[in-house]
Amino acid sequence: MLTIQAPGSTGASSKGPRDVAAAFLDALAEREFTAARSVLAQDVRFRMLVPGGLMTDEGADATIGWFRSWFAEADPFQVEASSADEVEGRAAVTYRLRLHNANGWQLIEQHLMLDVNADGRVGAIDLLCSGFRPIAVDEPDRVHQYDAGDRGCADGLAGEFRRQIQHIPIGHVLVVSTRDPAAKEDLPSLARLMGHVIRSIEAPGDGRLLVSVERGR
Amino acid sequence: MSEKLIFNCTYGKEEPERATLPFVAANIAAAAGQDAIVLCTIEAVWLGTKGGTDGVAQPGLPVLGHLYAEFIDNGGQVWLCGACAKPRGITEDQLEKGSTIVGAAKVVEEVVAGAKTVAFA
Repeated sequence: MLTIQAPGSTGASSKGPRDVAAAFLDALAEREFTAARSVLAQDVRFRMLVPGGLMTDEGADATIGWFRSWFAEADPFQVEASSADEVEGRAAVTYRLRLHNANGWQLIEQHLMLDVNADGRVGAIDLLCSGFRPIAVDEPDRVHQYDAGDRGCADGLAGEFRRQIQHIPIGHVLVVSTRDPAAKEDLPSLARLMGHVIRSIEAPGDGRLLVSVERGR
Repeated sequence: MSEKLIFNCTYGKEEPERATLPFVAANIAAAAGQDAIVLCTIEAVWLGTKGGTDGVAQPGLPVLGHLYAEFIDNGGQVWLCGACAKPRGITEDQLEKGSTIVGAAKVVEEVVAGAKTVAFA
């Protein structure tokens, strides 16, 4: 992860544009929307240039509402790169996020220029957004998804897993999501028996287990 | 090469002798430092749930609840057949300490790797 942050960006007593940029970025990166809102002026003006066109909104709640709508439900949510800096009186914030939402894995980048009022709060935001860019399966990470749901060993897990992994090229990764308690133990065994490689096993904490399997043959 | 010893148990509290005997053998293995597993299938999956061994006692054999705890303390594991647990509505949060719900592939992988199985009819 590339992170470029201004030195002394936390704990500064006087809030210059650079400090404000860092505070806003930190809050967004942690999805602490209440903290992000506290950086904004009550009557903040928000202009967004998104793939669909130019949109505008006003007010701290409405502005933070946009960020919530984009990022609150994503899981996982990873900051790939970010920067917070000052451009002669304006604050500049940039970040690139890799996240998973209802439409699958996405990459998104946003550039923000912030006007900072004399009281240290953000009075205006101009945002340029890449839009959610689906991560194509043949792109560098070569990741594919399979939601096995509640399927267990008695209702076709082995056959369906084999069918799914045979549909991806050797060397690519199939991320299998399962909620079945037996499948959580079974999938790594199944994968090894079939000659594949377990890359990682993650428990996001919502009852699912995510098993990343690299097709080995 | 798997060094595991897998003892199959298929009966629950309706057959206390048959339910207890695999744990007796497995506990001896665990106490002797072996990597011992009781694989519970069919009605035996209840034995790995909280309270599942309550009242299971066959004259002449250890009380199963005590034996289960001793087996786990000795490093033993209890595997519950996932295909048997699911239709009985057994979920992970009902499991007793030392029990895990597993699928067939887990067992097959161990056997392929050299685990020895002991069946109790």
